Amino acid sequence: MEKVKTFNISDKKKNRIKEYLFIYSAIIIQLTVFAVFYVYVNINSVKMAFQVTIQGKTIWTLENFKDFFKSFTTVLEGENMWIATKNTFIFFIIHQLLFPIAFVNSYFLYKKIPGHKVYRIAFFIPSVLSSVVWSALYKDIVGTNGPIAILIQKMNGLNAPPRLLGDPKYALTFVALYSVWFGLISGFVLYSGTFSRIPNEIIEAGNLEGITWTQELVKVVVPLVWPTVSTVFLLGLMGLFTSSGNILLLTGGAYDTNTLSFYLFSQVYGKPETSNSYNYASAIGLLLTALTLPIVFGVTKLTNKVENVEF
Amino acid sequence: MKIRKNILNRRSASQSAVYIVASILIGLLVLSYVASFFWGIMAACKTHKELLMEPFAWPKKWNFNNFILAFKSLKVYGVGLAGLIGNSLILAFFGPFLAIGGSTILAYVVAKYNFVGKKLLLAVNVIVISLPLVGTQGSTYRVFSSLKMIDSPLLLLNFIGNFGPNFLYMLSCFKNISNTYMEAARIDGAGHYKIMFKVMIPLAIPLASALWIMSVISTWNDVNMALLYWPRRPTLATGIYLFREIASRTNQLNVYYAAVMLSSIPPLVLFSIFHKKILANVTFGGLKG
Repeated sequence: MEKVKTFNISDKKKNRIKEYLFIYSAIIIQLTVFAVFYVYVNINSVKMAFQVTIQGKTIWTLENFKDFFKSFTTVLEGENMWIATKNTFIFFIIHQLLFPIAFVNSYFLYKKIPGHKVYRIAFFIPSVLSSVVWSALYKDIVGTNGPIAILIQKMNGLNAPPRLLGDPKYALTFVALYSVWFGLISGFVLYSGTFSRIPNEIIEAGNLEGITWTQELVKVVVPLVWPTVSTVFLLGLMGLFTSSGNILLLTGGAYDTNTLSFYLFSQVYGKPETSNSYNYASAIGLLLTALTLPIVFGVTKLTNKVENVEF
Repeated sequence: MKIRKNILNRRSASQSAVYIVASILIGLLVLSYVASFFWGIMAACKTHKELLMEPFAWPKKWNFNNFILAFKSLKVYGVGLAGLIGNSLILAFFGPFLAIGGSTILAYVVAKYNFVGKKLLLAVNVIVISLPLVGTQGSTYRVFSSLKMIDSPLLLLNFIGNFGPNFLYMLSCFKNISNTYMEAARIDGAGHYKIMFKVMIPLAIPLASALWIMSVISTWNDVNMALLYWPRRPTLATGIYLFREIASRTNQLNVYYAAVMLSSIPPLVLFSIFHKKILANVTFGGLKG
């Protein structure tokens, strides 16, 4: 009896060892890659924020941070940080305003408005095709030979059609319009799934009770989807400093359309690897991440408070 | 069943009126996308001169050979259209395969086993999802460069970093799959790897493949990553972006548009084949049903 027990214990141990071997061997590659490309990259980015290289010698300094603050008072290499910051906030507000519109659009499709089958598929097309495709089309549609530029020319009595993406007077508006054009449907994929999970029985019960369609929307549908919708909205708040339009493909940051996130991209893209602009971008990124932290904590607290409805 | 459908579809006059107005407005929005896309096809079939002089007029002649011309004359950093497509295929198909494959295995292990560090992994995932880290492109570039990943297929390794939304989707999927499948396989003598690859992962394939398709489409369309880390190995998206300026200088805007339209075929085909699968499997907040 004792022998059997010993055998069982060692067998259990063996199984546990086998299990552990399996667990760690199955996830070791993923964790190594994560450690290098996420953990180390971020630690290195923090380190780079406090470094500059002068004549091949890397020194520790706060110069990158000082340069960032200076850029608000002086225009460095044609870059005005006030404009980039202001534009970032503009795009952030646009994204937040588009949020309820995208929600309502998805609601109408859920309610099977006329043409809903076609719209449901058509709503995916903008996200299926590359922004390279859409920005190419948009650039020519609002180009000087396009109908919009000609209309603006006639309305304002101009000598020639304006360059809507090539003139600081119009460029930001038309980059923003591009964001609106696609933002109207941006949340569709998320919301359509959420709406489709509402059990028909609940809607039927409401209809049998004789509630109106507005009551159904306000008192039945919205409370049911509220946990998801409010969570998506709150998570969107965390993207404050990464808000941007399609700057790279539409204007390349010119004509007063720069945003903070595009500015960071432009500090790396096309610059040599040894450039101190990499360190400068890291410093700005570190500051922006630090500024985002209170929002992250606030949002995390609020999302935890969102009451979950099981259905 | 019919009565049930009638109850669900019963509409008041005001409701019908609102729905018709909404349908018209949404229809106009959809029309703007379709019309823009059709304009792109027209632009691809015109001559360069026509495109400049009368961009919104009907083509005098539909030059479908512009599409063939795109294959012959489009070159970015010495890479032709076929090369651009090849680079896109490598990045867009293998990258998401490694990403979703890695997430699937990681999520399976976390969902079905208890081990030291499991709670830490879940906490790390929350941090990855909720904390937007900005300005790390410079650091990423230097790390990639020191590992010889710039302009190299080794960049694909980066895709195996597995935390984030895909991990969450797969985690929720495995949590919903009953452990009895594992136990039955174990009684039959299957080992851990056999259970994972032959029993459990096949059950999660519908969701994993939907995530893979979505990831293929977004990687195929991505410009920023390839511009930064494959600067001399352009993909179709970055190649087209870089070709625009060349096309304006060399009077080949029509060829440029032909390439733009060609680049949209693979994601459109993938989506039209798999849209039901994508819609059925992926919803915000977990699995449908």
